[in-house]
Amino acid sequence: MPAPLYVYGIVEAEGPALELPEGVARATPSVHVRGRIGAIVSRFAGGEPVGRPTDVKAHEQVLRAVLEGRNTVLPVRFGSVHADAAALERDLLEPRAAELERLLAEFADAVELELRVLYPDIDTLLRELVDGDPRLARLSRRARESGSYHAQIELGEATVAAFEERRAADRALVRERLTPLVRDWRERDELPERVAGQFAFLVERPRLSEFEETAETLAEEVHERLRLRLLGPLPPYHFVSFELEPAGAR
Amino acid sequence: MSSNGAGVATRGTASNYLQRGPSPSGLADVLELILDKGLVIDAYVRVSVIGIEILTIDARIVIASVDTYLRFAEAVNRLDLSESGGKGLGDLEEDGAKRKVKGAIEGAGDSVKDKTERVREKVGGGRD
Repeated sequence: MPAPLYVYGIVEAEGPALELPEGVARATPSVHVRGRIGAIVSRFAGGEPVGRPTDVKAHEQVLRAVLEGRNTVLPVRFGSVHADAAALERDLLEPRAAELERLLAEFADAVELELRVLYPDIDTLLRELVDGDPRLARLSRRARESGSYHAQIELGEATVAAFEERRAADRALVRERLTPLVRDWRERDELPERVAGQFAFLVERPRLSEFEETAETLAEEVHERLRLRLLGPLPPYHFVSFELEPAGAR
Repeated sequence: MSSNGAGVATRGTASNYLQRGPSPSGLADVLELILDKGLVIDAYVRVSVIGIEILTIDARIVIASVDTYLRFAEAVNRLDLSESGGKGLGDLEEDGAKRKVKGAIEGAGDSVKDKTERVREKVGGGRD
């Protein structure tokens, strides 16, 4: 009976023992070592589907626990399963060893920090926009007085434009302050209305405290209109998002 | 296991203006963080997951349409009335988003199961 293996991430074979929480499908994760590479895996043979909220959370929690014990982990995409231990070695650990080692070296000591910048109060922001823009104030009066569909659309369109302009400026401010301290960064383009910006930063551990202090200073500076929420250190999810072609794939 | 293995562990910072946590707090946060991120070692053995529907929730709230214009216009119109305690744009949006998230998660169960079973057939059936 083959025992399919769920894969969470890749680490160096050598390193301190890891204390890992319960994994996907309630299995216990462990490190499967081959040569200089270790894969964080757990059995995936239960009768339950993967993809439930508990599985998604377990995947993230296991990887975070790995990062507490090791300096470097390459996260593998959620839902990766190999037929058994032999297949894991044959399809991944042996043929891709050199590439995985190179990636482990490239991302050594680099962690991801995620920053979400929120508008705590959209109505206050809108009021500011209307008060600060005579055209908006005029459109607002007209829409209220006439009540016509056209006037509403015109007011809405102008408000959205002013809002997007403000958001672009807020995003630029965050970039200006924080990107000089990081090795790489990503910015999410499509945002819900109350989110001013969402960033993933790849930060080298030695610069972590400097980065945090700068984020803190920025948060204090803008606290009256923006709320900054910083998550991490996390595995470099956004920065290793690419496909390794399996050697010998059908 | 570490003390912050699950849930929100937000701690204050020196200034207390920066909200700080080691981990994403809710399911939506986790999904956003991990779905479609990380190494793809072999698309063939990947289990399809519920992510697509969930991730589009945020996209749907993105500003783009006449609906949005009307909603913003309404929010601006309401600014003058807001002292009387009407619901703001933020509240309305959050209510809507919560409903959508809930629906998407509930609705995802079946399709996940189907896809998982397909993958399991492949995995269980051996590859060579």
